[in-house]
Amino acid sequence: MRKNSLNHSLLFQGGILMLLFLLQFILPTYHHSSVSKIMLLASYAIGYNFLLGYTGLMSLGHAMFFSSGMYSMGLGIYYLELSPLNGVIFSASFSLMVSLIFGLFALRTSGVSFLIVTLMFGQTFYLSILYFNEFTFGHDGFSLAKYLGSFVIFGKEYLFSNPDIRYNFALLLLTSYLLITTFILLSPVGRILIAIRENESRTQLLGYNVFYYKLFALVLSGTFSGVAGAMHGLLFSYIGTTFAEIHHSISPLLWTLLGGAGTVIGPLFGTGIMYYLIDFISEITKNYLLVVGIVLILMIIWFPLGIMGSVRRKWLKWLP
Amino acid sequence: MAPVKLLGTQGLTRQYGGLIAVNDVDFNLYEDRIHAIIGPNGAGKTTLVSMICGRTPSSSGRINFKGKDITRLSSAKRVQAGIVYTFQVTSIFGNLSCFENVALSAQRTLREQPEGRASLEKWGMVSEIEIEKAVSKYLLKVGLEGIESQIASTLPYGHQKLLEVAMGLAAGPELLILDEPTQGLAESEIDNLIQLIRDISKSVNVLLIEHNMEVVFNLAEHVTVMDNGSILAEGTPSEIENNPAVQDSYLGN
Amino acid sequence: MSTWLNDNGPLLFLALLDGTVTAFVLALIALGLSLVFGVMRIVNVAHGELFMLGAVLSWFAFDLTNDPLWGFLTALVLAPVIVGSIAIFSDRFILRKISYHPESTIVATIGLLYVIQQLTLMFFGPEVRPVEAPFYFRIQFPWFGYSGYKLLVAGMSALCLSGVWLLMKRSKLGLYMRATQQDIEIAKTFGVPTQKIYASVFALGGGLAALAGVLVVPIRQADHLMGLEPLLLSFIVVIIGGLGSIRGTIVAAFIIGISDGIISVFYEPTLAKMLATLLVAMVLVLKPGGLYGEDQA
Repeated sequence: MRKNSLNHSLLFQGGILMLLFLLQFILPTYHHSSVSKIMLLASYAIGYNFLLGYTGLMSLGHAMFFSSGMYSMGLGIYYLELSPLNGVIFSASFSLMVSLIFGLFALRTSGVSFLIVTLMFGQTFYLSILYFNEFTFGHDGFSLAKYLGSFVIFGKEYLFSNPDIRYNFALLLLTSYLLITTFILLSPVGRILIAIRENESRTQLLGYNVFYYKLFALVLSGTFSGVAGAMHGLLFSYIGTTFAEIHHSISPLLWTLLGGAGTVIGPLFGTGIMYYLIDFISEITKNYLLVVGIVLILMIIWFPLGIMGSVRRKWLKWLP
Repeated sequence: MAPVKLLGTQGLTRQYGGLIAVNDVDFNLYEDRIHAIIGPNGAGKTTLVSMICGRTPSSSGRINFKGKDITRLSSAKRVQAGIVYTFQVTSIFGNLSCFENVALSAQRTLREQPEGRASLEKWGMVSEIEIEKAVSKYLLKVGLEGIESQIASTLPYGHQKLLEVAMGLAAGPELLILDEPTQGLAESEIDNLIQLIRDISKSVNVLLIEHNMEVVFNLAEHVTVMDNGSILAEGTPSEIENNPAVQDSYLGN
Repeated sequence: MSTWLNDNGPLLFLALLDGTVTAFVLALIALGLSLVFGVMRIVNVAHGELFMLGAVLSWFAFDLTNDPLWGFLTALVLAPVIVGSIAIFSDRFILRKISYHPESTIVATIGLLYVIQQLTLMFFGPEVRPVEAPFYFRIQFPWFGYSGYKLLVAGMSALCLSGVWLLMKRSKLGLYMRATQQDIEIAKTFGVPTQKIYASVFALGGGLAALAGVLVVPIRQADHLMGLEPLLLSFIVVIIGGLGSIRGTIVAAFIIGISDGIISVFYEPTLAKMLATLLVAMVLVLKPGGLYGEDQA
């Protein structure tokens, strides 16, 4: 039965990814760039969802992982003169380490305590970026544009800020995240992660050391978020503290809940809808956060399953 | 042949604040016979088996299983060692399908079978086909064949209890602890369950906690009576039935 | 050592004074959060915004009456009432609808945080606005003068804290609250109107935060973003003190308030906050029940 689910969902996701690939040829410049951004942020949300949707751990500190990836990449390129590729690899290992250390501490707590611990660690990380401003450039952040240089594909030279490069790198990241998540979830490990979300103590009593599985989910989620942050820094050439703020931890929560926590593709929809909603409202009022607040409240009361969660319940039972 | 001791506790105690739920219990369980623990509500039966399977930490005392001290093992490790507990109030994964419920339990035992498994499978990569085979086997065993795709919480209560038993069996137990398996079941379902437990006991050691005396005297070959956190009496069902202390405190009312 | 004290003694004294004032205010804010957590088992992420509302309403009162003393007195009475009503409204129309599920409540109160903050931004504007203290009175120490109003703030906070203490220990409402905190099911069977208790506790928590806002605003001005910092600080206090314990909350407020005062004076505020947040995370990790709380079984 799982095979069915795997085939269906690969087909479904393949279709959406293909659509995204084709869209780049028809989208006007403005939306072209919006969709690139959405795919990057959705990758972050997919990483976030791996923890929330599949182990049931709600974090309010993921900006720490996102920005640890972004900053380690940026500072690595700036100080260690790493190549962009090595910068991303460096950021992956750095955010892996950060999430591992964080997980070893934070996973001793659960539920609301876990939430507050993540919030606190996230805030500590944010404050330390500010405190060590001589090293991190503090509030101002810094631009990477001068240090990135160009690279060559098929004999043609490109810049990272090239819109097509942006779009397709973001699409590549999204694709790999979707595939990896789907395969893990439909494997026996995924079954255990879902079981932990449903009933942690029962899972323990089936003979699984729940702690290791949660740690695995957290580290994967943190590393995914970190690499998404690094790619964001690379493709938009800017490293800044806004990506470490609490607000940036709440965003993936919102996107994931809206799209449907515990569905692989949900975060993509949630991110896209929220992005365009805010984009639309920003033209009318500066107070778009008001809408974020209202959406959060209405959603949690009347639409707790999110978009894809509801779709799965009604129509697509096989959706992972 | 002398009976082989499977499980033993020495001085096992559990305190909740000032309340002593289980007091200094030496409990022994031998292989190849259905053992039942009976006693009035609050006698400490569930607390005792909860300590045995590691759900509840003990305040003091020791637990041995197959000659090894397991007092400090986590509940997960004890399940891996072969002590499997099925819940009094069913504790299945209600939102998941019956297949997923049993598969969760079965995939671990498949993974741990020693013979010639590649290391990849040790990390959880058991083939789905094998899991499916195992799941149908256990569902068939408890008489729930063909319900794989049903969501567990939509099953009637009696079937949920059977599903719980199937999950217990799939965990590959050497000792299966059944906590009040007949509670909340109809008469006909109880007869079924008695048959099933007798069948299971041919290959697995069964420890039964039960209120229904008919079931106990029908199934058990050895009975432990608990009262007020201590063991009041032990013996064969007929010995227990004729024990005056037991009659006073329990069977009499 | 003695020369260090000679050089820095006055500074240390100032830090202690400031720290004490901070501690009292912090205790007031955190107590609200702690009561809500203790009785209702939920975390109100919008708690800081209720504090901010108190401060902002105080500015409106000052602006309308155009008199520092009357403005202060009006705000002192009205702000807790208004904010309490907002709390009751949120309890009735949001929290009750999600059955106080812990994680859903956090999401919902994050939403509430944005709503309150942004509505304030719309009606109050992005400026940082000062509010005049109801009176000017300086207490002259040998080394420096100190604002008498700050001491009044500490005194009034102490008064409110004692008031809440009495309410919890002596009144019927307090008895009901404690019963609900112990075990809501049992409380229900004994006829405690738990739904009303929840609403009252949420309103009381909000009212305390608003009161703290009114008291603090002449010292530190009002703006729509001022809620975040006290929220984080009161998380710290509540966690270190043990979620739901009044005594623990007050003790922890003093530890955090005074050490924050000292570190901020001698080092950097950012460092102080960094250390405090890290400390609280570690306390939660190593001692989940807090210093005074019952350890979770």
